Amino acid sequence: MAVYSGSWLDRVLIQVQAASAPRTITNSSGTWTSTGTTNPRHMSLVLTQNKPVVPTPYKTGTRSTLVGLAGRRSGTFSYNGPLIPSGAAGTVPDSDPLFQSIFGTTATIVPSTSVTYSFLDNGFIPLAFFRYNKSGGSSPTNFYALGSVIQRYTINLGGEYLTHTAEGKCVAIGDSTQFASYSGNDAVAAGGLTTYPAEPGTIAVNGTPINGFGGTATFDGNVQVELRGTPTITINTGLDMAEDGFADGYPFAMTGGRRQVSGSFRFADDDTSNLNNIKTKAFTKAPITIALAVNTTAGSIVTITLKNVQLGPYSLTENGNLFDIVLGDSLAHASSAAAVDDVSIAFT
Amino acid sequence: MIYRFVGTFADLGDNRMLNRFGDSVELTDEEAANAISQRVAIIPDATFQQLSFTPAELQNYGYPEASVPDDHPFHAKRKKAWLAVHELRESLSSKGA
Repeated sequence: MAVYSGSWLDRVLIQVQAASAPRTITNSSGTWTSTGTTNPRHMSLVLTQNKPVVPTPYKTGTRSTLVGLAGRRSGTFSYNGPLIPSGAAGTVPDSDPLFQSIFGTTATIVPSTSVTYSFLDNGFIPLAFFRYNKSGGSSPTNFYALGSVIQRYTINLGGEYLTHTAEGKCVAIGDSTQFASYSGNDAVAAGGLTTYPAEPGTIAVNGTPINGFGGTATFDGNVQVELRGTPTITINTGLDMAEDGFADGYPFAMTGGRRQVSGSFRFADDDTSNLNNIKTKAFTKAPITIALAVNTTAGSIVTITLKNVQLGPYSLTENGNLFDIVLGDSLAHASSAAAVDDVSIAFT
Repeated sequence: MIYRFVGTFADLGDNRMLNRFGDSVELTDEEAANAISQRVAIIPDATFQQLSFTPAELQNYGYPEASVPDDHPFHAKRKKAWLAVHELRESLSSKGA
């Protein structure tokens, strides 16, 4: 009798892969090594296999199509989850693999004080996602995303829960039903494994969720109490894959292009000098620093710092009984030609 | 061995959940090493006792939403507890745990 897959009976784990080795899931003699795997908690994970059929390009004398070839192949992923601090200052959060991949390096840890992620431009850390179907049955299909590269990362502030999303492409989406067939032109999809990754036992879960509101927003050195709604911080990482290799049809290398960091903000309009400064800076494009500190409990504070932000143009928009100042996309930049401090994320 | 939790929440599996600062849990050496490597903020009970948290402090400030007055000694004690977590993790890491 069929056992249907319950959407709540879904366990998702993440693990960094070796630097610049997107085609290899950490293993010992072909068996997955789950060391360092974390359970970041999730609301959704969408894994999409990309293996198109390419139509025959030649003419046959009729207008009918013929069976085509499987073309170059890869996958995409979209993760949405709560951004949960560890609860102990100086301890990395369970989402640490995501941040390592986004920033290209491990966090800078000050014991008992802080965990800070900053960019390393020549660091390329692919991720593996593992999804296990907990619905029971004799042979549920489990999935993994091999060699995942986060291309777009967003922190969603202002909501009842602080959340984040990570989207991008990956070398391949593997699954337990097809795994045995990964050979020949599709051997890459096995990720260097000889057996499908067995579900690990307990992976500890740490920290309590926090609201997306409740903290301090500082714009150009001024505490901006008028910030409202659902601000977002978006990192378009510039990370990509080289996908045109000759050896096979799968992506074979991570690449790093120019990234773009932006914020989206709206303020309740008023006549204060602080907000007027925002309006002035939005017009003059003089750069400012923005720091958004979410939560006030030590061990569970998340601070996003954007440097050299040139504020987007603003508009006066009606919002219920108030007018809002709504800024267009405001772009952060490095503070100097040799710096990579456009954005940093700190847990304290 | 008895360990004390110095974070906000941790689920160790097997129905072992730690959700208050100061919660105690008995773990084998292997279980403790696994938990610490998986970022669980625990320290040996003997180390915790040296930090001299009072029952009132644990009662009033041991849950995540607690508001601790800025000048309260609980802040310094908790920081020392977190430092002990780091030192224990580093010690196990250097031993190849």
